[in-house]
Amino acid sequence: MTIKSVIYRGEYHDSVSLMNTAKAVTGAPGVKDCAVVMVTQENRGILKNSGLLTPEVEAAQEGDLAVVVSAQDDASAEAAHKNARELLSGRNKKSSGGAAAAKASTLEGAAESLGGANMAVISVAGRYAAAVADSALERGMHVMLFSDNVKLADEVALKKKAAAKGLLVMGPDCGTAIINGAPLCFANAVSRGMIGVVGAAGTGMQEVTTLISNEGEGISQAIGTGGRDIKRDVGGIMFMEGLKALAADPATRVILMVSKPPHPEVMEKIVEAARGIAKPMVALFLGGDTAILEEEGIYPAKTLEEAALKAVALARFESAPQPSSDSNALARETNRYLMALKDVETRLNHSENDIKRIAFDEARKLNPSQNCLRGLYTGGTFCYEAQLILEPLLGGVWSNAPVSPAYKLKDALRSEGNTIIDLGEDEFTVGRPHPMIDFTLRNRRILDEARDPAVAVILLDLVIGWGSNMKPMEDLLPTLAQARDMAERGGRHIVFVASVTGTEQDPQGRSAAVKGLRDAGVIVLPTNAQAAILAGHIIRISGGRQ
Amino acid sequence: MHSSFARAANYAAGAKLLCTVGPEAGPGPLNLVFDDFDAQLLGASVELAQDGVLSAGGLAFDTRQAQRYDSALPSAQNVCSRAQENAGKFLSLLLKKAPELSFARALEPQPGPESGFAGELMRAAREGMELLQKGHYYDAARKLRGTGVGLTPSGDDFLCGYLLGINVLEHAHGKNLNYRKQTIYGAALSGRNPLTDAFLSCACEGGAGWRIKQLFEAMAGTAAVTPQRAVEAAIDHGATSGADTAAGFIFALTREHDDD
Repeated sequence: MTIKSVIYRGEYHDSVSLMNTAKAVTGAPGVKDCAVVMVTQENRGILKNSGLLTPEVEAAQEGDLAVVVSAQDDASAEAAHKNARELLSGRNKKSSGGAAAAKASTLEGAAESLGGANMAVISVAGRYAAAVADSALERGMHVMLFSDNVKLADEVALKKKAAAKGLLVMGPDCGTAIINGAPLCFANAVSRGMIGVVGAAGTGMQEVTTLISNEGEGISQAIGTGGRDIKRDVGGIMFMEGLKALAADPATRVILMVSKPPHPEVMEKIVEAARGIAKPMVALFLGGDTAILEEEGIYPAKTLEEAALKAVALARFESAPQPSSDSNALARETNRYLMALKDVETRLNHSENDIKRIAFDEARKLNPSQNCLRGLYTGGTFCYEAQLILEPLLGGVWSNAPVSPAYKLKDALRSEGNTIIDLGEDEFTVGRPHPMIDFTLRNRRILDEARDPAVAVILLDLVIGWGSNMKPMEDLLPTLAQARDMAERGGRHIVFVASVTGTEQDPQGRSAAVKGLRDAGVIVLPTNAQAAILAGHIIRISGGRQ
Repeated sequence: MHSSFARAANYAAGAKLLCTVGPEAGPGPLNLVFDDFDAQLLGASVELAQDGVLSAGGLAFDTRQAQRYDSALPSAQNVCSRAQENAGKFLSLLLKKAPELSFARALEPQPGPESGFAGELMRAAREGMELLQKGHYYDAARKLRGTGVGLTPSGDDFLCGYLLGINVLEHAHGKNLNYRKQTIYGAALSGRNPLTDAFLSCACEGGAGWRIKQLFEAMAGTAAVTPQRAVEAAIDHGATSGADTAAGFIFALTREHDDD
């Protein structure tokens, strides 16, 4: 047993950093105990009583920061201190860039240090974001605007300016994009390929791009527009520019559009633009009317999964040997193409039948009092998609971000009946990292829901990839075990259903996440749509239709 | 500048403290809240002139134009009495949500097995609380001050909450408990940590941040949010600071020493 301490003078860290550091170090191999505290006379007393007082702490000044580690040997203690130092200085974060990234305090400095950069990713306070974006456009750079709280008028002005210059402004509040193979912000390591995506749905884009990659096809570009782009006020300026860019991109041979339903005027523009694009197109406007799309030869989809699979089917058709100009041959190819899409429908139907069988098995494990579903989502598009899937199965579903305004929860912290929560909404994220990064709030809510004797199913998403939580299993599984124990002590079995959005190439690894969840007793389905269908069938069977 | 983080920067001059924060931290007796907070823009020092203009990083902010926050807890006797009557119910809500190592955990009726640093910390917290309950305020404050984790140690946060609770008791019972407050305040002052010293001073005078104020209102039945939400908001400050302060506040209202 060895006890080692390090004193940091004049260093102040916020309490959360200190606690996280202590927690991470205490859980490291070979470490018996750890304290990360400000040196005070009183804390010296506590350290003494717990066997952690060292001469260095005794000699330290009040207000110094002390890290004390008790470990089984010197090597473990030193490793723990190194880890603590890195955690406190923020150096332990994995870099996606390999070599150390250059630091610059201004856009100009960043552009000069990189040389030849043609895109700026902007994540500054909303008030300043428009000015920085404007400056980037002036320099001839495309913009990804991660910042939110940008004024509507500024967004319109920036997008008009960009369109006039042939540049993109992705955002504001744009969380995901993949440009020339580079994942930006929240995005996944997907294969490159011939499917181009334009969308106003962050996690929706992550779901379709990863499903396409996992199916063996790939992404040419994924262009995010920000959710407001498809509203009347912005008029779909960037959605149209995105379509134009994909139409002109020789690597893109199939186009996939993903968003909530655009404003009718924007929809008209999209349809008009589609008429001029020779490439096959799939559209998922979640919950929107698809008739107008079909009339124009755009292939509609109802779920993210269906959209991804249809795009894959089209891509495989496009990459097959092309027919001659002979009209009979064209007819035969068209028939082949329709057959490919038919295969998608067959596959989805088979999936649903398999899901129903699982649902019957799971419903048998429930008590008669258990008939409610609680969905706790980190992805807004998933939350929306789940509601659309569940409504026909269960009737109205309550939410803090409801599809139907009549089902708006009075208090987002309190579920009612069947409830689906979007934990990425402002009410949960002000002053906190996004729930795809920090699981604290969702973990709390999982425990709250598990205490409710009416809860039968807890439905979850898990989005991995760049930007998301790098240790999802470590942060999620103990809570699931605790929730399960709590329910079982009350004589109840709760069914946990989840989907994992990501690829094997993501830093967290999709199969590791799936295995971790399955080992913890979670039913993991390949897509959010399937997970929602299973959850809905279990509740329907257990009598939970509202 | 005393300390700077992503969402706050604290400026200390002698015993005076100014906390510049973003909207997520929200209003408090020492907080100057910026809609878009950026510590780098404010820079290493700030100057607050008598006319209310704050100069920082080459920028000037007219604080007279800012919305004011009244940090005083309500003083109506019936409201304070109702808050005291309901405080016990809030303890159970607090215990459901309080993080590990927070002093709220020392209020668990059946504490789990404890060892090592965490165990010693809880033991010290319980000893300090027992002294408070026996009316040994000076010894209690000396026992609790500077104890625990965090930039503002848990014991100091707990004492801040406790002082705020005494302010409520004064109004609830119509008693002058100033001697009790001053004893605790005087014993708790470290003279070395300007943050906790300033927070203790505010608490002694009855100045509370919005989280504790909302918790009080929930106890009194006048809050716009549910008790659960009020407790969660109170906890959701720092790593353990919010739970520590809420624990001290509830402790003062539920385990009052009645020799005064």
